[in-house]
Amino acid sequence: MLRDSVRAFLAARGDRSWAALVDRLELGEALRDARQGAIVAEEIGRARAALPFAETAVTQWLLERCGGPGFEAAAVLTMAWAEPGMRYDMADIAMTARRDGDGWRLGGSKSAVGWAPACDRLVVAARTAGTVGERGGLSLFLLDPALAPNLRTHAHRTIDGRPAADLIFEDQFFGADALIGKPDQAIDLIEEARDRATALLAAEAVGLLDSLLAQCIAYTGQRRQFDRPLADFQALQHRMVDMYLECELARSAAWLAVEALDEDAATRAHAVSSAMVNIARGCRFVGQQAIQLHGGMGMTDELPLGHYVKRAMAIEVEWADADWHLARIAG
Amino acid sequence: MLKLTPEEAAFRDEVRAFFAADYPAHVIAKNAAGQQLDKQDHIDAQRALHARGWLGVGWPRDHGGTGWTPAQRYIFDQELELANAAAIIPMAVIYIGPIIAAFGSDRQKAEWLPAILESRAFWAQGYSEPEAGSDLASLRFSAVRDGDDYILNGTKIWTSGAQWADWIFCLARTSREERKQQGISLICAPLDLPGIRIHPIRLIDGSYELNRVEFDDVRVPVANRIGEEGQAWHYANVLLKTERLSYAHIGAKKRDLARLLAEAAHMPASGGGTMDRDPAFRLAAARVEAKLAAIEASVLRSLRTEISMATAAALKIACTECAQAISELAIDLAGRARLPMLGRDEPDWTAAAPAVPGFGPLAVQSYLFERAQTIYGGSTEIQKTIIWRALAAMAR
Ligand SMILES: Cc1cc2nc3c(=O)[nH]c(=O)nc-3n(C[C@H](O)[C@H](O)[C@H](O)COP(=O)(O)OP(=O)(O)OC[C@H]3O[C@@H](n4cnc5c(N)ncnc54)[C@H](O)[C@@H]3O)c2cc1C
Repeated sequence: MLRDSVRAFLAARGDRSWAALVDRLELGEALRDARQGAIVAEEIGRARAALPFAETAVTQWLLERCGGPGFEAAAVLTMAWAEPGMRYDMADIAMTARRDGDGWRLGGSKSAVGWAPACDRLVVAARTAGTVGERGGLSLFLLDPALAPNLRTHAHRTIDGRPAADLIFEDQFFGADALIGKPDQAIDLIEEARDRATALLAAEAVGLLDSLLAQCIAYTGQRRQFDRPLADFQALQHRMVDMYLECELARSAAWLAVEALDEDAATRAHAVSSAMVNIARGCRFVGQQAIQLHGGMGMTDELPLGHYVKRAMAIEVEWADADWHLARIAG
Repeated sequence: MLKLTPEEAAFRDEVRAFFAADYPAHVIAKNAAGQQLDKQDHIDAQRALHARGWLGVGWPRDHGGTGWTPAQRYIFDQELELANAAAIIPMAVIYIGPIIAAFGSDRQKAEWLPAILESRAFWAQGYSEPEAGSDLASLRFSAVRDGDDYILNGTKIWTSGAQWADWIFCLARTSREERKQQGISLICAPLDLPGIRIHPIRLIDGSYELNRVEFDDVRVPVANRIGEEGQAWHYANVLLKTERLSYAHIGAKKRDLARLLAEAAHMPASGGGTMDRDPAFRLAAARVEAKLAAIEASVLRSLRTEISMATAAALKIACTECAQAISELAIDLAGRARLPMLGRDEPDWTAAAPAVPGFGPLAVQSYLFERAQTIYGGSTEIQKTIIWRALAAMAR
């Protein structure tokens, strides 16, 4: 039901914006429920629609957990955590938020924040206490970037063509109500948010990889060289079978991640990381082979193919890469 | 066998000194800063090489070439790449120049070769067609004789650098023969002739270096044919033999790997420290380094002995896959910044994303573009078919 309606919406012409999708299909529930969310994400992947689904879903979840204000489902929300001075450990967040009278002053840089140039609100992770590397001392702030004159926004696009921005806070003042949740204790929530976003990205990857395989099967069936379809060559048949094996594992991995989201933190972390290691390998392999099997056509921006590959590459690294997940599994 | 002789070592020092002192510094600076080179940069670079007599690599000496041994050629390529100099655009200098020198008419040699060396003419390679890629011999581009002219019709695709080129050399069908490799001729045309249209093709890395070139009743004199009618397949194969190491790019791989390790020293690792101390990254880099060492030994080995088709094909696969592995390491390193894609035409291109290391966009573009290495020049699959033929012959 949900799958069909999302698929139909994304296949139709006309307004395919985030607001239209959410309003038309009443996705408020799917934004809160990871299983439904995974279905939506998979279809978004299959259609390679550039929509802020994981960003918004996970930010909505954070706001709910923090008792922050509610937003309509159609609002575009995103979360800023990454910084130039850190890799993937949230404890390495350095941006500072210091008290100033009733409110807060934020200083520091966030790098390549997805959808930041297009968002209605932003949740920012910043350090209210402690030093870089400490788990304690992180807090979350809900901001309207349009109302922050001392926030410099450098908009650019990531490999998947989606909007992102480097955000440079120059001692920007925010009122007391910007702080959401308990001060100094946000790291567990931030890490859970990462796992939730990762599970949705894993589901999106399932749709992307399925589609890439389907595109290869179709192309090699129709493209002729040496007086026969490319798909007649067993070397290429077996390659596509290898891609299929990755697609199958990816689907299972996405389930593994989604179903572990409500487990205790250690179980959740293990499952999500196991999932993402498989998803990342699948994204890499299927993406590379998809280009190779298309020959010169695989290199052009004119086919949808390359755009699928690039979205898969973005998913590999968006919240943490395979090495980080491997390290988390290894403990 | 893998060591340079004293003479070769002296030559290496000479080449190294040349790139340090007598080569346009702005080209090296642009390359080092990751800025895109324009045509004028390539002209400047070629002129510096030509002034030293080093542009006609792989050409015989009596046509203005270097007359180098394979080892000298290899040393030169490596030093050029290590110096961050501009890669020589291969179409004119490496691909068609030696063919003109070997099979061209006196007039072609007198007109075309100096124009290449003096950077007055850039060339494009018109081999592939929409329906003739790996199966190149099935090409349909036609040249029909009309008095002293040929009338050219058809479409060439994936033509690198046609947007810059003055001339194109085309494989064209001049007759239908029993074997599809027969009846193909090598015919050249200035790209500004009426009836030629060049359509740029945008690639996944955002570049516009490839083109589709359409010929609609384009008239060229028969004198623009190189060599005999119907013999182009033979000429192409001769070239292939002399150019089997042109994909090696060992210097570029060493340079890129070194650059990556240098970048890693500035990139934060999880839990503090920098990525050059990150155990997973170090092992991954070491794995590529070990592979590269063996590949370099393969190349050096092949400089000293005659190598078989199978060995050459194996080398092409190894070299191109190694380049891809390096570009993978690069995106693995840069991935944390979410792989931004930025235009790189302006000197201050990194300013668009100040909180992202400039290395990231470079890594993205090279990863995407290097996917093509296993597609062009005979795809990996086609090379494997060549190798298997040799292995199967061993059983007979
Ligand atoms: C960046 C770039 C630059 C290029 N520059 C030029 C240029 O300047 N001039 C020019 O003429 N051409 C150029 N080419 C074209 C290049 O030579 C062709 O792309 C190449 O020959 C492959 O042909 P194709 O693209 O039609 O792929 P196809 O032949 O359609 O192949 C598609 C896939 O099928 C595989 N395949 C094909 N046959 C078999 C088989 N029998 N068994 C198993 N697998 C098989 C291929 O390996 C590939 O993976 C360039 C290409 C690229 C990508």
